[in-house]
Amino acid sequence: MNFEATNLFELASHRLKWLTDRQKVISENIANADTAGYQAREVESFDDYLRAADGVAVPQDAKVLESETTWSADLSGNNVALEEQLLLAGETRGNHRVASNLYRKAHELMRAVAGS
Amino acid sequence: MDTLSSIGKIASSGLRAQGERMRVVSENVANANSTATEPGGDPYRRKVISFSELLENSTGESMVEVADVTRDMTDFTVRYDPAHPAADNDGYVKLPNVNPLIEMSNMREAARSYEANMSMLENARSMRSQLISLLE
Repeated sequence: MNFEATNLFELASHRLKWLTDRQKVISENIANADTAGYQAREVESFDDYLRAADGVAVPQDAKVLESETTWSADLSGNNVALEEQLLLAGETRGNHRVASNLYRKAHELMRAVAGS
Repeated sequence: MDTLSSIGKIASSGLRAQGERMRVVSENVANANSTATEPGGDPYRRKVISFSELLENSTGESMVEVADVTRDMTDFTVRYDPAHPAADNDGYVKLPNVNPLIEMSNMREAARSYEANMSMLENARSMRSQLISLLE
């Protein structure tokens, strides 16, 4: 049997971790949407995260960076746009669903092969 | 503390802050006509709330807290009403510097931010149940 498929588990759990970290940063942005001078943040790209997590037993939290562009900024310098953050949150939630279903399917695949 | 619980903590700090903001707005609206009780005295001064970022050192979560509730120092409007108990020697009464339009838009914005925090709470909840269902 080809156990290459086990990489699916690793990939899916990295993805889940990254998406959860991303959701956390988005919720920080939303909580601080009315804080004077707060700068919106985002996590590093998934590619960068995977590269850093490669060969590491316990992957670190995704790095948090300041967003370079956002939809709007107010007079105090706060550049969180609620609509944008909610859009990102919805996207993250959907991707999280995809990754966890992928994880489940990979598991079912293994079980089918094992014949149980 | 796992990240999904952090989201709950962060979002509820947002809910608390926005709720506080709503309270200040309702205080302003309730006192929109509160004049002084003695002749020539100052009426109710509008309150303004400000938020600041609250960094939890142990976990690195960036939450939000109410930084300060200050008074709006803009000028009062005056009205000529000699019969009013708060009228000064010339018959003018100082009225609070509360503008109902500003208070209304502030209230709408607070409600909108409150809703956004609420939906983050819901997002975290559904992500968690998604993960738990993997165990079934």
